[in-house]
Amino acid sequence: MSRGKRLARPALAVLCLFAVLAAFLSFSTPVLASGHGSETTMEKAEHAEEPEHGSFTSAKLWNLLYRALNFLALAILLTLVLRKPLAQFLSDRRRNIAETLDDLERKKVEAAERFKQIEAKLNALEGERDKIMGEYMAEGEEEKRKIIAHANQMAERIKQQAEMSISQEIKKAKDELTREIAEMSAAMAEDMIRKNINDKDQQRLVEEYLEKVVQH
Amino acid sequence: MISQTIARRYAKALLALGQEDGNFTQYGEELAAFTRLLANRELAEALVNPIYPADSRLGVLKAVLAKLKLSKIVENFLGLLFDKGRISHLEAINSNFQLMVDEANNIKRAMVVTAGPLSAAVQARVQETLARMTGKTVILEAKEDPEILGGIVAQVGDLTLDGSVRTQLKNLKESLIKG
Repeated sequence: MSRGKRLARPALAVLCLFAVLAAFLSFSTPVLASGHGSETTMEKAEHAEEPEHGSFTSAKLWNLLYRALNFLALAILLTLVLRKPLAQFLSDRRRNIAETLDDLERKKVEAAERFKQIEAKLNALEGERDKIMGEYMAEGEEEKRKIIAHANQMAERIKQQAEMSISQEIKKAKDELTREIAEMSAAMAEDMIRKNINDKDQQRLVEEYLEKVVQH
Repeated sequence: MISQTIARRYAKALLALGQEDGNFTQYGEELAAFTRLLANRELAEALVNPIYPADSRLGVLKAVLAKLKLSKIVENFLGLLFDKGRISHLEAINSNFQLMVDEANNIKRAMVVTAGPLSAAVQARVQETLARMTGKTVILEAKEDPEILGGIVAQVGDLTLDGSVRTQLKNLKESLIKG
């Protein structure tokens, strides 16, 4: 005999007992109610005349007995009809619940496993992020160093060019000034010669030049 | 260039004839006189311009030569130039011939530029100096140019002597500029 069947029998007995008690209470209540609630005016008058004692009459007892038998027959019938399907239902239900619990337990384990994996990935991502950030920072520093070096180089070149330009401008101005002075000196000398030279000087100049030519 | 080559060839030919009879100096003077005559533009046109008939131009040439009474050699020489159509090169031929005559006579012509007139004594001194330098007889051609301010500029052939005050001032200015 299966474990389900062994459990189903006492349960069925308990169920029948509850059914009998329920039937008894259900039937006794209307009887008592009819004894009290459906009294006519005549009966009320009779009751008013005779003292109230022993409400259970034989007819009522028979009636109760028939009803109990009827219920018993119904209970036996239901037990016979429903015993196997009910047991099967409860067994299936128990198995389903156990399977559901196993499934849930398995899913819980899987979820815990996935949680661990995701947590590990997150930790790894954090490390990767730090590594990438470090690389970017290093590249940024290198780029910064290059930009500063280039800027310094450019500044030095501009400075040299400016110095060269200034030097050239000074030389140009100096040359220009020298040229102007020379031209002015020559012009002044020419004016003086034009004003002061005479025929005697002309003859003397020619003779001096001839002397020089002959000596050379 | 072609004109110079032609002129030199004709001048050389005339000089050869002149050296044979020893009259090349006279030929040079006659050729120079005829060349000066051609400075007259109308006469030059009448002799050179091909728009006039050749006979007419030849007639003009003969009439001029008859009046100039040049030596036979020079007349024939000018006639030859006319026949060969080289009369237009006469000026270049004369220049080359004069140089050749000077060379034959051991003469150098000097162009002397001064700011004012030179005294005869100074001219003689210049002539003597240039003759000493070139080793030849020097004939002076004087020219005045006040722009040279003073001194003298003499050119004898390829030799140039620049003793002008203008050049000295220029040299002085260059020295001042160069520092």
